[in-house]
Amino acid sequence: MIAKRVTFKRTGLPLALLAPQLAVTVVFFLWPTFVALKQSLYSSDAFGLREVFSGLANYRALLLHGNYPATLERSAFFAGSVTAISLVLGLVLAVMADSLGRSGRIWQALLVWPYALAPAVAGVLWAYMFDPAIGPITHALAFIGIDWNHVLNSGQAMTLIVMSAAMKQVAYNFLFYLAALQAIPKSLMEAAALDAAGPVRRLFSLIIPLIAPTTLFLLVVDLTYAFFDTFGLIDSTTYGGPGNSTTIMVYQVYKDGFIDQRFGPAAAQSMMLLLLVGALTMVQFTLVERRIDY
Amino acid sequence: MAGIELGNVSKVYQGSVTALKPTTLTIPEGGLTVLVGPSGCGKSTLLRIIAGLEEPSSGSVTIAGRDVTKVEPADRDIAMVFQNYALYPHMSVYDNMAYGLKNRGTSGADIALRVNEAARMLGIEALLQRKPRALSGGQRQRVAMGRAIVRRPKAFLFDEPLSNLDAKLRGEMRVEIRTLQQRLGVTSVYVTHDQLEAMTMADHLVVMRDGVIVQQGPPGRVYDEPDNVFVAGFLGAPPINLLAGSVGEDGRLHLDCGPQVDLPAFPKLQPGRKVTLGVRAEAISIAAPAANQQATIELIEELGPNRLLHMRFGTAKIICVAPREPALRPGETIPIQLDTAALKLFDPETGSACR
Repeated sequence: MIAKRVTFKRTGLPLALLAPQLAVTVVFFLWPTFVALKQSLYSSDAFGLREVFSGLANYRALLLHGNYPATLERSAFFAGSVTAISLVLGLVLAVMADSLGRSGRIWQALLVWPYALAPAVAGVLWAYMFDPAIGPITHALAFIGIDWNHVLNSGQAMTLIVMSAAMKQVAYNFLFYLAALQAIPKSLMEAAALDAAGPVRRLFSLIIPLIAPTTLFLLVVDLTYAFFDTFGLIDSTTYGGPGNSTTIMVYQVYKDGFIDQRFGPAAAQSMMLLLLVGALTMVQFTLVERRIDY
Repeated sequence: MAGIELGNVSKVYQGSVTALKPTTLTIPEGGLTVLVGPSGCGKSTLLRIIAGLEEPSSGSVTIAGRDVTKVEPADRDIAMVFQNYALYPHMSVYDNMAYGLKNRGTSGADIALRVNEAARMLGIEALLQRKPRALSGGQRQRVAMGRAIVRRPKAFLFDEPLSNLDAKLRGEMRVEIRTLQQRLGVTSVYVTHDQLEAMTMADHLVVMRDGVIVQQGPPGRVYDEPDNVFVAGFLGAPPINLLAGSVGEDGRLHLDCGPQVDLPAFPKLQPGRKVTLGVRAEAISIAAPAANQQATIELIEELGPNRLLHMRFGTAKIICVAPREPALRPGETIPIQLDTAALKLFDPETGSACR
């Protein structure tokens, strides 16, 4: 391979070429991060008139008092459920589409659609379908004796956002799993057929171990999605309620910071999120680096 | 008959592409039958039909006296060695070999016994705990064989098992597979596109082309008495020299490239008849006492024990195998002799041998 590489004689031009990207990074990423970090170390009075440096007090308050520990637990439950459901469903659908051969392509196209839907739009649709008063699915559920009202029932509210968040990720996982399945050499499955391994045994003793690298990758992507990219969904379905029952970390930042105007604690929470996303990214990088090559 | 019987088996893909025309074939028990032919000749399709990986469009498959046409691959009592080995990458060598037995509910002790026996036979005992990716091509090949052996099947099927190996290893594995097959005495079907592999390994050689069996028999006989010009050209390296010509009034063959050669006593051909002459490289001798033809050397390929002479014979090019002596140089014109008894004559229209 020939490396395409241009060597600049002076530093002016390359800097000018880099400037737009650097500017975007600094203005929209580094600067806000710095402001948030600073903010998280200050406390302000009830009217936001005065700010005092308070060290790690915001963090201590966050982790020891109030509802944040419950939010962490809830977020973990939410992210875990979304990830588990979307991984399993994605795999099941991919296995089914793969077994169809060529006609699987139609399903492939159809199943990718949910991923193209903006989270907020998806949220509105889910909220409508399950609306306690006019939702068609609510009516259908009433027929089989289920009284659906996620506005009042916190368990149902959580179920709703888990379902709607998973739906989108199922599409994503499906795509990756299908690609992974199609990358398994056909002869391997034929050898297994001759080795008297039925479809179920083939799935568990061959396919799942063989696509483990994909699963690891998707695990991180799904967790990241559930933790960080579900704000729009929640804000268009349950608004974090009833009570705090669907308030996950990102939503609590919004509630504390924008609604309650408690900037210090909100900033401290965004730092926690930053740590989490950093950790997940690290895991992802190490996984991608160590992609197991068979 | 306890070999493999194929009765009018054919394969048509998607209603239009014919991979295999209706074919009837008896694969003798205990021997190694090689299916050989250029790619797309239907040999792999035939093998996969025997394995049950491909459903025939028509016809029946009988293995060891049992009609298995509708039987699942796993229940046909056969084992297959794949071109890319198809080892399970996440399993150790031991587990790779044990997998089929485990799935069939063989007891752990019995599995261990069989796997160890096969490993000893193949000289891979030291590798049992390794993963396939830590093995060389030849070792993987042995594991793939081991996986077939432990099953103690009624038949082994080999699908171009040596094509991923380098030339030297291929030669070794050829001998190893042959030795092992003879020792175990299991009916084997071996698919290859390599005529050397086919010639050296087969008990029974089946040459295929365009979904049809064109000739079968012991390899020596197929080589010596090719039924048609395709078989003659496919078997043998360097390839047979094919020269067009017509029978003259004098009973000699007048080649289009110029020279005239004596025809064998049989078959009797009408004067004026057009024929294709086939001369194997080893049927041309140089500096023989009765040399009556001339050819000009264009290129000499040294092979070690002997050499290949690329020569201009009239206006045509021919190749002959010659001893290392005497010293020759390109550009030299030398006397040559065609071994009249070894000449093969084909009909240029149909390609079939004149007999």
